[in-house]
Amino acid sequence: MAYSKKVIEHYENPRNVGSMPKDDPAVGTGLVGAPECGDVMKLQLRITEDGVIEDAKFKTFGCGSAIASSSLATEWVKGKTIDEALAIRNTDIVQELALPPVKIHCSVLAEDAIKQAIEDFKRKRAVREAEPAPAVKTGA
Amino acid sequence: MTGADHYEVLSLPRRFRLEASELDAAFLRLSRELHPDRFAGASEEEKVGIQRRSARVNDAYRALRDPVARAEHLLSILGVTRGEGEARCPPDLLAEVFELREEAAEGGAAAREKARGLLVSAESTLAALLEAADAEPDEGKKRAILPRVREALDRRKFLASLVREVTGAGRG
Repeated sequence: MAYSKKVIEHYENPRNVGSMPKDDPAVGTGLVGAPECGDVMKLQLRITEDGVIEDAKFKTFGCGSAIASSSLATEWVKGKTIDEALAIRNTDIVQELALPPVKIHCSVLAEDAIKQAIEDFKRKRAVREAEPAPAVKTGA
Repeated sequence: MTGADHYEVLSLPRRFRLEASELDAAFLRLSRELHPDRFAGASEEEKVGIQRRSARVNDAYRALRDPVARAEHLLSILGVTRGEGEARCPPDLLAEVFELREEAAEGGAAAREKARGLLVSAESTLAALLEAADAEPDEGKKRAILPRVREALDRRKFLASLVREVTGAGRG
């Protein structure tokens, strides 16, 4: 299968490969996969209190298109706010990488990974905010 | 899916487990029934209709012959999806697969053996669930088994590609 130049470029020189501690409260982790092709993709975002994505890392086991899609996703989300990142559509990735129809699901995975990472971050933040102030006793 | 599903086309019961012999028998019976020689004198319109039916019989036979494709087909007929966004697998499953991939990437015969062993056990887990689903007479109880079938099928698929990967069989 012929990959586009951009896919090959990301595949040979992936950006932001790596991982962050998933228990870090500032880190949101998205883990997605497609049973049909066996690909699994982990995408992690470090997000500031103001909701700005200051760093992104990924690790993907899969085909060239899956690696390129996640590599591109990390590149795009860096510096964006949560809402801006959530606006990224898989079709943007398809267009940028010139993915053929059979590889569209790779871009879907990348979009879903961004969404799940942000969901994970928000969940952690909500838990943190719901935590009671230290040892305030309520009358029973 | 338009019109009849593969089971209907071959007049077979909607079971996960089909004997190769019953599948072959249904296919042969219909192939004979739809054989062009029997319609030599038919109108063009009728012939086209027969050809179309014949093509659907071939498709159904091919799809139902493979147990994994068959299970996918039956789950889709029964409306069992992966839920949210259709693409989402249970997080535990993904975490397990990711970890196995990392181990396998470090290489070594141990990781290869582990992957193979897990695939074998995933296949027998799946087979047991398919058998249980087929054997369950109560509709409600059967429906309760189906999400587990869905997950077992996905797990088996992930493990099969992992094994393909670590044994260097390449990928499509």
